[in-house]
Order: sequence, then structure tokens, then C-alpha cells
Amino acid sequence: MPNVLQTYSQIAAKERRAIIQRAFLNSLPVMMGYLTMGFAAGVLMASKGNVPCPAFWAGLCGIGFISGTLSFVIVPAIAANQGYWQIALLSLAINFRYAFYGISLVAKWKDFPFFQKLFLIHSLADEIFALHVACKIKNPLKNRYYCLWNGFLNASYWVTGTTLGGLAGSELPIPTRGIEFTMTALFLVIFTDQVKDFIAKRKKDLR
Amino acid sequence: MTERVLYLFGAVAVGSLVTFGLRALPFVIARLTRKDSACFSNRAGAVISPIVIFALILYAYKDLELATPWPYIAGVITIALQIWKGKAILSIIAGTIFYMAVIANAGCVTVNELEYDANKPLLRFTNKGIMFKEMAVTPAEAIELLEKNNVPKDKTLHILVDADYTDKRAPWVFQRNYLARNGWTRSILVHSRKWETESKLQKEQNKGRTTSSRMDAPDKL
Repeated sequence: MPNVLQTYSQIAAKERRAIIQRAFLNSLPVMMGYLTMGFAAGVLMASKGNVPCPAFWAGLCGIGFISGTLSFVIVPAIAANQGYWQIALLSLAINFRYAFYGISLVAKWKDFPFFQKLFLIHSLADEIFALHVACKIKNPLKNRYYCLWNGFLNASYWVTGTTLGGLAGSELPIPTRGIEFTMTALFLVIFTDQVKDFIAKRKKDLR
Repeated sequence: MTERVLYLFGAVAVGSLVTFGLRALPFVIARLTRKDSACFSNRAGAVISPIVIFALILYAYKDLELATPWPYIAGVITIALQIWKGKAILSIIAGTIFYMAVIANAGCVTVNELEYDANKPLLRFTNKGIMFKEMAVTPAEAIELLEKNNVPKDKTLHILVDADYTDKRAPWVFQRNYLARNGWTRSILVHSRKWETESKLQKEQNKGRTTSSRMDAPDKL
């Protein structure tokens, strides 16, 4: 593994700061979403997961998956003590779309160092992917620096959200009856957006 | 306890590995085929995911209070808001708050009408086998029926064991392997002798009122 700090010191300090600043500003809308949805996932884990110390498990799920949908769906599965094969199948079905995200990034990330690439692949969730793709920095080194910060910042929002949710769900007397609707609502919203997109595309094609 | 913790670690590991594997797939394929871009089309992703999401909607609905109209109304509110405003967080929070508000008070019809006390056990071990109400069922069918009737998992479930029921182990195994594994972690075995004295006491309390058979299952389910 090459010396990371030395590599990045090729970028001027001022520019590095500018890149971090841009990554942070771009991540602000995602922060709102990740913190609230992560919080909901954590509360769900605390109320329906049937686990000891829910904050830990919610946080671990957050770190392990960095996938909103799976963090919700795994809760009823582990509450019912489902087998590993069932959980594997569930994860496969839910996160199948991720297999297509890398396609547009393969060429861009071709020469990235192994461990940095590993982290970037691990944190390739929907919103983070969208920000990676939207990044207009052409210089490969600067692009890499931006992508790493982008992945790190957004992933940390998600993990913070889930952990806080798990903590709040188990420690605060908030009413949790019906909280499982967040999961249903999440899927309904995704589905509605997909149908909306489909209709918009059809209209465009017909014209 | 340790078994559960180990299971949880395993479950999170499985989910993480599968997710990571999927994310890494294009990079692995590119490495193996020595091409910069993987050769399969991006279209499959666009076609497959709505179907999966629709299946997930059904999956998520299964755990809601389906006997009441509220899950459907909350769903319509969520979709309507999403079509109107297009702000995902707003739609999700509004739908959930609405659902939680109505379900906290009026929504729990299915729960309130069931009584879970020792005098009206839902499940009974007799020499004919396991009885759910008046039906003889297998353990798996019993779980299915509990699931179907939305029997809440956070309530204590009483299981009556007839005095002449010979197999001492079966109810205990059922409790552990079927009930606990499916989420009904709180269940109590009520042995019929103890149960009889309880019901006698109750008979004395409401004298004059003729009680029907002691094996009466809950009327409403």
C-alpha cells in the first residue's frame, strides 16, 4: 500500500481544503436524509429487533451494510431468528441493484490503491454513488480524494443515525407502536418514484 | 444469550458479505475480463428493481395491523404526498406519524378483542395433539395460525397442558423451538390441575352464572 498521506500531499493544502469543503457541502442534503432514515432504522431495531443493546446492533448493521433498505428489512428477519441462507437471499434480492452501480465507475477507479478502492466499494450506497458520478473533478488524484471524503462523510451520517436511533429507541420512552410503518413507507416512496420515472420516460419516448 | 449474540453477528456478517459482493461484482468482472467496463447492460437494473421493491412492499405490509383500514390509508397518504411533493423524507415521516397516531388509540381492534389469560388459553396440549381453539393442529400449523391471527408477540401466551397429557417434553420443546424461534418469547405452560382450581375460584366468584365447558377457547379471534 502506497503512503496515502504522501500521495495526497501532492495536492496543495488549500486545494485539499476546498475539496473537503465541496464534499461536505454536497453531502448536506444526504445528511438530512441519512440521519433521519438511519434514526428510524435504529428505533425499529430497538423496538422490533428483539436484540440486547440495540444501539450496538443498529450501528453494526449501519457499518456493515451502509444500505438503508437492508438495515430495515433485516430487523424482522433477525427478530424471527431466520436462517443465514434466508438472510443471504433477502440481501441478494434487496441489494441486487448495487451490482450495476460499479459499472460506470470501473474505468474511473481503475488505478485506485487496493484498500481505498475496497472502502469506496463498501460504501457504494445509492446517494453516495450518485454523488460519485456527479463529481466533475477531472484530475484522478483529486477525484479520488473527493470520492474518499464523500464516501466517508455520508457513511458516517448513516452510522451515526442508526446508532442514535438504537440508543433513543431503547433508552427513551418514545411510543414505538406502529414505527414499523417507516419501512413500508420507504418502499412505497421508492416504488412511487420508479413509476413516476417510468411514466415520464414513456411520455418522452412517445413525443 | 451467547447463542443469540453469535447468531446476530453471523446474520450481520452474511448481510454485509452479500452486499459487498454485489457492489464489488462489476470490478471483479472487469478485472477478470481485463476490460474497463463490464459487458452487461445497465438496463437489467432498471427492470428488476421495481419488481423487487413491489415484493418488499408486500413483505413490509405483512407485519402491519391488516385487520384495520389504517395501513392502507397511511399507504395512500404516503404515495399521494410523494406524487404531490416528491420529497421522500416528508412522505415517509408524515405517513409513519399518521399510522403511529391512529394505531396507538383506535387501531388495535385485533389486539383488544383477544384475551390472553390463563382461563382462556389459545393453545392446549391434549392427547389428541395440539389444539388451537377446537382444531387439532401440528406445531407448524399452530405457529401459522398465531401468525395469521396477528397474536401479538409482546404479550404473554398461556398454553394449557391437560393433566393426563403424558409427554412431559413436548410442550416445552414446542415453547422453545416453535414459539420462541418465531418471536413469541413470553409463554407460560399452565397445567390443568392448577388451572382447574383457578377456574373453580372464579366460578365461586360469579355464582349463579353458569359457565360453559372449561375448555372454552376465546370466542372472538
